[in-house]
Amino acid sequence: MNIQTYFEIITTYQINITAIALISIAIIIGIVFFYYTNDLKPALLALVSILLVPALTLTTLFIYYEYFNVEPSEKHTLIMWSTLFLNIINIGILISKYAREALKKKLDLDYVLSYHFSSTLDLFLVLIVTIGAISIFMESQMHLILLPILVISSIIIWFNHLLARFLLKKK
Amino acid sequence: MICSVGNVFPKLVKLFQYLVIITVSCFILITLFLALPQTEELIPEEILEERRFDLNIKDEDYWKKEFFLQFEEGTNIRERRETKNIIYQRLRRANVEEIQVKETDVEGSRGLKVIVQTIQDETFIEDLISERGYMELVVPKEDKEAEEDGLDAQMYMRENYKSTGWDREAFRNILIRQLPDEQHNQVYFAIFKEWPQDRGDFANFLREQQGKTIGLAIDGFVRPVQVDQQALEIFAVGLGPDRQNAEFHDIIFNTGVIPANYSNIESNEKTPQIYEIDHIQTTLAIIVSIIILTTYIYFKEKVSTEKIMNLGLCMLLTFSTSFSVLKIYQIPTDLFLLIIAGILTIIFIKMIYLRYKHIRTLTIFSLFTAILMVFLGTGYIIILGQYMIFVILLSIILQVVIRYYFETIKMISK
Repeated sequence: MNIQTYFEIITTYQINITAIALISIAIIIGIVFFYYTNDLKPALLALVSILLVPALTLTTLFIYYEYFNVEPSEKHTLIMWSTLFLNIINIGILISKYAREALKKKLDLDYVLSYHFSSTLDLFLVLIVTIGAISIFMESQMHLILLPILVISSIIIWFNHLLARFLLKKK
Repeated sequence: MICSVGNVFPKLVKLFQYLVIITVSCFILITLFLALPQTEELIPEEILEERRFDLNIKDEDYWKKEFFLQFEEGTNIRERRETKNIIYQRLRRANVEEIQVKETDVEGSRGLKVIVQTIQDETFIEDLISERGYMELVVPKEDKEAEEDGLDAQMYMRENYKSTGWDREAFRNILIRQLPDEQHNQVYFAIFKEWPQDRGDFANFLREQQGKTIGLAIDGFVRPVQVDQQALEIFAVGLGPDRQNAEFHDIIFNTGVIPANYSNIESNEKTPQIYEIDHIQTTLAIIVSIIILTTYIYFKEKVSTEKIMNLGLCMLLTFSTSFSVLKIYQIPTDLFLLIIAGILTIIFIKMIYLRYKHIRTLTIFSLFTAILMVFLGTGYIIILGQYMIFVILLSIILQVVIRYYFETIKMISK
């Protein structure tokens, strides 16, 4: 399966509505972040993190179609949305913790980041345990969806943490 | 008197607590029983009557077909791309699960290959693909006006009418509504909403046609419409009582105008691609992952047994209730989607339980994402989004109920 063929299948309409969905989520989360921090950097974190989801999904699908000869299917879009959902949970915890700490007199960024580290580690391990346990009962076709969800989500939640460390600490 | 009220009140509270425990316990047992696979076989047929009670799995109902559409000579790239988009949009609105629209060569000229896999009605989907759906208001040609009283087959043929210029682009929106007709039967009407700047011109056009029969032409077929006094206020065209026909017109009218003419050259049946997972497999996968996860949390995070029981029961009850709803209402279900939804739900519930302080943020963000899945997703994403909205709300309610349930048991047992 040629990657060119894959892109021919995607319609402009599909790209537009997916872009609208991703940008809406990024903007809403960015606004919430900006409201609590009065700083654009955390909003940038949300934007980059959310836009990384389709980028990594497309790369995965590219590898599938180019090297494993997997036939394109609408089922593969589930990878992106499931990863996005898990990413939102991770960012949600960061925002919520940041907001709680920001309301206190002195914002302790180290505490926020160490809390986010523990919640990211927690989410990462829960992902492995849950997807691992479910995968035992599934056949190879389902693994083509479950494995990328696990890998992309893990990359993104750790990327979120590193980016948060880089952007928030820089302040 | 005061003394007796004082005695009655604690008894009433106690009674209420017992009632809560009995009701929630019954609810837990019933939903667990209903959700498990093959429990429908244990229910006597007198209770079931004619109703089905197993999980309505979609696998058997899927059909897959590829269609080859050929464009008219001279159709440019922009028109071809627009047609591709509109066909995709139509199929998305018709809740088709898998859609592929690809530009290709059909019998030596440019065309589209459309592949669909769905459980929707085959004729309905075929019509959405093969009909261009070009719509315009037409008036009878002068020589045909005299014959209009006859309302014979000629009245339905496009060649007996002339164009008026009032096509789909002249209207802001065409609403499809179910309203009573003159005989008080509920029928569907297409209500034409013109652009504000054209309001005067359209009113003049209708006034000129008052008392006459004009036509709504769609792809060469004309539906005669009598322009009466009421039509001058709201121009509505009757579409009949059939729901699917109304839905077809709603999609055709409101997904844009296909700019190019094309014909359906060929259609081939294909074998649907289905992930072979059964109900037992799904249930086992979810139960085992809940057990492994709660055991892992118990040992790793060293949380109390009560909290772990709370968490495990909330997860189990969320799944059993949602599976019971799927079974009772016979909602068509894709089992592989339940697996994905299961993973997301387990992680969501785990996070709201053990990161309780963030429950509000997590719920709002997760709900927002699920709502976007429904409104901006395609195919399976829409179904996943609907299921996620349901389970997020359900798990929020259930975690409150289960907390109260455990607290009540503790209070009573003291």
